[in-house]
Amino acid sequence: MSETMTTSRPATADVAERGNASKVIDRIGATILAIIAVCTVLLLSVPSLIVIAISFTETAYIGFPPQGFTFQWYADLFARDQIIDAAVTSLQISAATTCLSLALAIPAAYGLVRGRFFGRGFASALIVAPQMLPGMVIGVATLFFGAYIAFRQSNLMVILALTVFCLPFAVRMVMARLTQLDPALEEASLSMGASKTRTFFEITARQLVGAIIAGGAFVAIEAFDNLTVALFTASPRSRPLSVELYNLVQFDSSPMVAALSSLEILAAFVVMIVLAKAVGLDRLRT
Amino acid sequence: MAASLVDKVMKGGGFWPAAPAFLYLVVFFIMPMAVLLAFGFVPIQRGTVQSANFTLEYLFDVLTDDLFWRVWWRSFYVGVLSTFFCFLFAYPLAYIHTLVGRRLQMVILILTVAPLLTSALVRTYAWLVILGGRRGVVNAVLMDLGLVSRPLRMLYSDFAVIVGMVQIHLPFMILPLITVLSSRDRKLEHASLGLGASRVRTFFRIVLPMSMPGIIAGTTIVFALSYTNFIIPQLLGGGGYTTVAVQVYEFIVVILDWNKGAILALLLLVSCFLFVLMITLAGNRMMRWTEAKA
Amino acid sequence: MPIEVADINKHFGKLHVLRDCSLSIRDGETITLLGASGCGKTTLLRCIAGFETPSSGKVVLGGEDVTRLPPNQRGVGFVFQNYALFPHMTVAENLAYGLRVRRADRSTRKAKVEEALALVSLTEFADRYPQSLSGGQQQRVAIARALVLRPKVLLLDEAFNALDAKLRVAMQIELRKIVKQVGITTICVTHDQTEALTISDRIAVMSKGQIDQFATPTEIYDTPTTAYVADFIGAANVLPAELAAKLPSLGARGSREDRMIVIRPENLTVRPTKGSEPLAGTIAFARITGPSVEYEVEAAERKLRVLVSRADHDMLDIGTPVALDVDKADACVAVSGSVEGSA
Repeated sequence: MSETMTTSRPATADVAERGNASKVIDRIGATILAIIAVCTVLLLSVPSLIVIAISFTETAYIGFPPQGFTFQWYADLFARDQIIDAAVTSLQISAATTCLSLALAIPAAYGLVRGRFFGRGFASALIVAPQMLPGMVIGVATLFFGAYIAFRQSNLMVILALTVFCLPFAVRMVMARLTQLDPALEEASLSMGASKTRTFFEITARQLVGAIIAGGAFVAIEAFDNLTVALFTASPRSRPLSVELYNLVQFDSSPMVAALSSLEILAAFVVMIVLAKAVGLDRLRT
Repeated sequence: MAASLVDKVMKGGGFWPAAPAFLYLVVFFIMPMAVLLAFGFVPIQRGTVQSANFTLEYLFDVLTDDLFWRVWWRSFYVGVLSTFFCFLFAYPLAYIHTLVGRRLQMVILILTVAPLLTSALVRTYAWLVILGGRRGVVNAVLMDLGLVSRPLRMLYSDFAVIVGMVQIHLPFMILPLITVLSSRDRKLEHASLGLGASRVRTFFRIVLPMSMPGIIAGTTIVFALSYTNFIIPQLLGGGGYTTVAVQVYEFIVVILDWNKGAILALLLLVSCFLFVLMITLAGNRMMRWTEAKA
Repeated sequence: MPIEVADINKHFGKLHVLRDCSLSIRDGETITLLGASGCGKTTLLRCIAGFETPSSGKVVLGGEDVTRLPPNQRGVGFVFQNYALFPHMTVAENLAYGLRVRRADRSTRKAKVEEALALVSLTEFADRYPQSLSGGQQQRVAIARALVLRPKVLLLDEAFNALDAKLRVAMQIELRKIVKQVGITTICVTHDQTEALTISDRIAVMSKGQIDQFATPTEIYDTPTTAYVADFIGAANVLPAELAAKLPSLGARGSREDRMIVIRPENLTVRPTKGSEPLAGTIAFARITGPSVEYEVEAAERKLRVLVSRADHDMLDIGTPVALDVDKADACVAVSGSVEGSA
């Protein structure tokens, strides 16, 4: 419509015809676009739904469509000490990595955003650099470094390596918020007599809560799920859940694996809803 | 006392708050990376340095091995094809995200972010279920519909690996595209339509070029992730399916030849950076118009 | 409390943003640092507040040298451009923050906060959050928050910028009243000359990191000392002395050749002419500004502004040849310096 409206010449047959042709093309284009978008939506959601569906099957093998309905595989899961231990290990690793990452990231972000010092560009580049590397490289490098200084694979090694891997997420989230924060808020607090420390805790940190929660949640999830770093740094005697699951996926074909996966999907969904309520989903994009 | 110490640290110039993180990365990132580099060029036996002799032997071994180049070629085309299909599937959804109401936008965003919070391993496992064997979802459906009489062999192939990579890396493509597309100036499209261009033409001549920064961000991330992923090829590609990343894992964890593993890891890293650099430079050439803004 | 600013210099890297700035401000006085953006006025204010440390020079508040003191030990009240109200605290909590820092007990805090809110007539907004207030209300909260601590001096950095034009004037008058009622020494920073004229006892006009003139509004307008000051406050025609000498009623003024003469538009007169005049021109543009007519006259390759009361004057058409003269020769002052692109 707009084509003919803005033409200065009167709408001749030629113009009208061309308008119709482009209308047909537009309709085809819009249809293709919509079809692909629907495919993408299915691609994003259906695999998880299939895993959940299969976790309730009564058959002893993975098959589609699932047959009957049973919680047996979930029961099996909780009966296996090996898996419970691995889950506990993963929770410990996740908690420790999150605390360590945030403890390093919050002051680092503050220094990088508010500080004026020589080599600030270099420091920021170093702090976000690990994010550009595949987890495998960080895992391998830590393993080698450990071997070099006679430090064995262990939960501690997983935590130290994962913190390197996760630090950039946390720093960038806090930095993003801090950059938007008006420095005058801090100056206002100072001019009212508050110390820098008090200002940081009562004013600055309060404004960063959302970013800290979002960043912390991302680190916690990544540290819990991570396989690429953990595979190289975890001790064979206390394996985190991700490594345990990796072995199960390769060597166990029972629907119990689907049950474990379903639980992880469920947990991720709960975390996301909580995050969306707490800080808003848009925040998660940074 | 403690408070005044913190005060002093914070007053002493901007660097001090960043110092712990900086120090941490020097010890647990820079030094390990240095050791990784060294292990590629110095003989190693069971994690201990045998002699401090610098040697290019491992590098030459790898580079003169035909097998390596075949494996590398697979890493490369799997990375390229995954990135291409990721872009193909991501763009329409990201574009539609900017055209629909707030509710639907939220749904699209949740659908995109949710997989990010689920472990990649679980999502890879889903593809084992979908593509796997005669009882896999696809074969079950195809056979029920009578379209095929024998189950198709889909798992343990390039196809399976690329499908897995595309699905698992989709969010990393969609999010930067949404960011750049939702901040675009709609007036340009109205202007294009007003000048008589069709919507399709407007899309290809205006919307697509304007979203170049998001395209570069998305493609570099997805390429780097696909090129260096070793879990998906191992699970969906099967036993004989190797890429450079898979070889790194095998040499270090299974064969315990750390010299070869280190040099392969370094080659993987360096080549990955080179490709990312090439994508960025090529992309920047296509958006020289952004330079005029400054 | 009196403020003494002595020979302050400030460098940011290679930039020399403040050059030998000195001010001596009397107790209870309200002064304004006025200048275009980038002239260093905000930096000077921040040096007084303690957010910046001068490279050299001294800041003395009520006899105490505070140059090296951090901002939280200076006892200054600061009102920020965007008010910097803490978004996670209510109005009352914002006001009480500084009192809590000073460990005032609950009842003292309550009394002082109520008193301060009454001063800015915001008593009923105590429990609201800053985001739910209008711009003018937010500004009054910011002023009350600074005043509740009984600071030695009150500093305002472009505090009226975020308000719309009408509200701005009302708030300026309001501020003037509050400040006089409290009797506090006040320094404002602005680029808006009307604001400076409204709120100040004295104005310091700054350009390029220097204080050009520090005097009362009347003095600044009537006897500017530099061409920059003349041009910045009100409109001015700044002419080289030799050219100004051609105006019949003015004659030779200013002994030296490098001096410039400032003539306010309302002090210039035009009359239509046919013959040759010492300083003739043509009307290039004319517009009515309420009770007066403003002309732009092209003469001697310059554009001069002339403001004539419409009471006993027939408006002249564009293109009319005119002769220029001055009304009161005394009101024309000689200044140093020049103005780029002067009218």
